[in-house]
Amino acid sequence: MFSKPTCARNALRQMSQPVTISVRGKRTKSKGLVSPALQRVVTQLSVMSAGKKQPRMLKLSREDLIKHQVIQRCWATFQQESREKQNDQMRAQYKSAEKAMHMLREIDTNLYNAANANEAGKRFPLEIRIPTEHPPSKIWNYNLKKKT
Amino acid sequence: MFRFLVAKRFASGGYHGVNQVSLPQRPLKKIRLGRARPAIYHKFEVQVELSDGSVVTRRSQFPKNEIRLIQDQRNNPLWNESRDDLAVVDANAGGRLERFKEKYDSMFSIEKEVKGEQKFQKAAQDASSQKEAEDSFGMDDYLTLLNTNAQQVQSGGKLAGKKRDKK
Amino acid sequence: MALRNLIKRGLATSATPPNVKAGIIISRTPIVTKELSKLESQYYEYQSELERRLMWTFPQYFYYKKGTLAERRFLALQKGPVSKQPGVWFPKGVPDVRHNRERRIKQDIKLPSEASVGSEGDGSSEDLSRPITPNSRVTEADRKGDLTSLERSLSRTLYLLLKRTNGEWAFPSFKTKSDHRSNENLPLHDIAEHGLRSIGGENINTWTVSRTPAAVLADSKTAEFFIKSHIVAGKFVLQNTKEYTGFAWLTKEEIQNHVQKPYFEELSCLLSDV
Repeated sequence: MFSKPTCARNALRQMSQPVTISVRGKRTKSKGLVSPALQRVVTQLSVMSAGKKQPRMLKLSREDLIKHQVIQRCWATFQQESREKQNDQMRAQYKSAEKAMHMLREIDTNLYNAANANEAGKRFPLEIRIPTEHPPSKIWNYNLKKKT
Repeated sequence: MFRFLVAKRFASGGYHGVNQVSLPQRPLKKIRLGRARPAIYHKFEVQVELSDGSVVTRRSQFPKNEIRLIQDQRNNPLWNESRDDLAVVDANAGGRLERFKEKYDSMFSIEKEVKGEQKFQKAAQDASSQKEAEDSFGMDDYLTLLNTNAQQVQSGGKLAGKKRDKK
Repeated sequence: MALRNLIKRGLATSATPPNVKAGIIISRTPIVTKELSKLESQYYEYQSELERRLMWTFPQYFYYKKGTLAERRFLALQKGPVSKQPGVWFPKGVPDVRHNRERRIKQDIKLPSEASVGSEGDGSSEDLSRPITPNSRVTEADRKGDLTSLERSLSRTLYLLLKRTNGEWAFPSFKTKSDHRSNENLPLHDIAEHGLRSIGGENINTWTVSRTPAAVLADSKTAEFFIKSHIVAGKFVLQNTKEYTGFAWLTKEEIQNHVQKPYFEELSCLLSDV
């Protein structure tokens, strides 16, 4: 019924105000709501909390699950084998040292006592290094001079 | 009463930065049985170059691919008794400050001389650290502790205890 | 009983070999980590991929402050995830994005390289901000096949073997009762170390693991006791001796090829597989 006049009024208003430039108005949110200290705590906590940062759970299909179990079992077997191998080697080393000491006792008591002396306070050399993935630039220190 | 106690505890000094911040209360999320998951933070693979040029790969949460160590066990004279070719690299070399100094060196000629002297002193120190350990009295006495056959001091004396001042 | 023991001991002493020799098994410990087998490397890769899949989203807001240049450099490199749209068919599954991360797969993050930032480094060894270029695990000595170098086979333990004048290879060993020096009162490990220096020069730093011999090789005439030791620094240079004509630093497998079979079988438990 009165749609036409309103339409005309709107059009007229648009004509009179062609463009509105958005000007920054007054702040509606109070700035001091979150203090910097609180913000810092929130950031640090959200770094630690799982919140939304967790990926989805792994859902393995039956085939994938069996594959995974095979891999894990294979690795466990491999570990066990290498452990047994190492234990065997250590046992053999102990027996070999024991045999040597028994023989030394029968041959020469002085040498035996010297070999059996207490070695408390002996230290590991500081210059032996842990293996790294890639070698150092100077691999070996050749020019060693004997200390006099 | 309780509030008073808390207030008193805070008033007694020490660090209480975090305690003062009160977080808004939120309902705790319930973790159902068997739903707990371990915290696996995001980690990057970092190549770490030690001071002698050897490279180790390790994992770190810090977003960086490469780390170069300037001073570590591998060029420290303490751990390298038989080496005499150790290069001591200045930690600030190649940095912004160094580049600035290179550029405007002429203005800071006095400072440069001083720095040169320091470098010379450093080299001398490395060469005769053993000698100094015997000569000097204070800090360097710890060097003797690292020598072979060092014995732990067994003192039965009283260690520094807390002293409460009288009010 | 006591008499019988005495007789037994007396017999034993009379039957024991008069010649005691002190041998030394000197090793160079590995400088680089061991070569992984196929199984090991594949399993480690599988595990690391699993872990990467289960890692949380990288908290970028924690490490890069908002509005900084570093943040902009970081963000410029990242490839954002595909977001979910209504009415769109996604061939690789419906995306599930949280914190700008696709939750169904691992997060792939590219980091801006430090070297390209700022410094006009010339790539020399003086420049501390140069990119890291690891040294090769295969050395010059490996390529040349130089058996006397200490820089060969960096991932393996090497042992010093000497070549006798009769062409036989063996670990260095020394008589306890030598003519020119009064070795009578010295313990075995001292004899071994002195002997090593007498044939290999003085400029060598070794660390003997223990005074206790690790093994013995005995026949009717001699008993050879082996002491274990490590070379820490310095160089073995064969001195002019009548006894030996050459030396080599060898791995366990190479030792097996060089020495007699019974000799190796007796000592193989002392040698490291790595």
